[in-house]
Amino acid sequence: MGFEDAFAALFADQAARLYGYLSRLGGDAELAEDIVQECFVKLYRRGAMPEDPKAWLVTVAHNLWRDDRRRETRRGRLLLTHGAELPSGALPAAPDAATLAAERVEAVRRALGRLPLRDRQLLLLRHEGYGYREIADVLQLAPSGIGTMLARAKDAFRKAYHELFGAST
Amino acid sequence: MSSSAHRPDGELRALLDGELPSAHAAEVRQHLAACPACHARIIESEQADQTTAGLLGLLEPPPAASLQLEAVLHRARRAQGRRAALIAAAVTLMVTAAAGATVGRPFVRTLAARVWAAVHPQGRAPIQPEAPFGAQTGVAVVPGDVAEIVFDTTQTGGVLRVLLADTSELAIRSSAPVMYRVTPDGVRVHNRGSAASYEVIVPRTARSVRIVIASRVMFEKTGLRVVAATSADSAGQYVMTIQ
Repeated sequence: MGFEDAFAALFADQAARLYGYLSRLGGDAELAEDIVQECFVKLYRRGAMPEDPKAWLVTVAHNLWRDDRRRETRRGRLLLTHGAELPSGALPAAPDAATLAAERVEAVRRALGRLPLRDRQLLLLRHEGYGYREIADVLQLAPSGIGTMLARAKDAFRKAYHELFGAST
Repeated sequence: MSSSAHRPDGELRALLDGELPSAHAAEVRQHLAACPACHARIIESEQADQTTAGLLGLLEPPPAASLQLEAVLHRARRAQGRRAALIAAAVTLMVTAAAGATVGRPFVRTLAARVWAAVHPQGRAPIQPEAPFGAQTGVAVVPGDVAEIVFDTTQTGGVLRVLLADTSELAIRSSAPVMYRVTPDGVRVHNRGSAASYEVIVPRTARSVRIVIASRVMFEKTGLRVVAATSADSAGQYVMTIQ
């Protein structure tokens, strides 16, 4: 299989998955979309498949995402963001189903936000179906420890969610 | 580990995830069959997994319209072409310099004129012939992956107007001659003591463009997203002071 064919196959297999992962990781679907595009552009310009293309894509995506976060930090509060933005305060309590659903989504986002970055990455990579070896490569962890860290991350996430939204859910 | 000892969470987790080698998995299953405590833990973990997956599923992102193979290939090939053009331009500049010409200005002026003609077909030429040596009223560059226009300082007057256009070059024009320096990262505007107003044309296709005034980021375009110190007006332009 030539590079172009391998590239097309990898795109079909991984683009949506990487997009899902990044948009959950950062809560910004537009940015996630842009980063996924940029990852594949970089891969194409590389002209050859890396040894582990899936791990390579996630690593590049993490670097791009980190760079974007640094820029956001430097920008501080000087700028206004145009476009979709997450509400920063608690949503007003209202009994209707739509509001309740929005509160749940917000609680999930906040629960994820309470986790250390590595735990969030672990949890979300696994949620998107990445294997332990891929996760270990990307996060530079020992494969044998992934199960234990994942179990702790899942527990921490559920605990945070229940604190935010109540144990009844 | 003894087969009678309770199994650690990580091992149960790996079993649920299908990540244990088959012999190891068989051993753990054998233990689970004989150990009600561990069996109860793995059932609990399985149920908790469903809860976690359901919660994370709530964050399902919207469909990604631009994530099409053709679009990515187009962008990748265009980026390659742009790089080749930049290399060719750099070679041209070096050859011009070697011939003793005024380095940079003819190239930059030609480019600026072309951009202005495309965006302002009825407008005046961007470079005024009476501009003093070293000062110009406009420049244009082909942006790389990241392009930055940096103003040295704030001014006592003048406004900055930024607009997005279907061009391939990043261009800036001023109402009065100012010193511009084209850098590998974009353009540096030496505007100390100036009260000029500026218009910046940003290619819609540019990957990352930033405009900075005295270390303050006033405008930033990353992919499709634009963040600016002011909202866009009804014409889609971002108008802000330089003070």
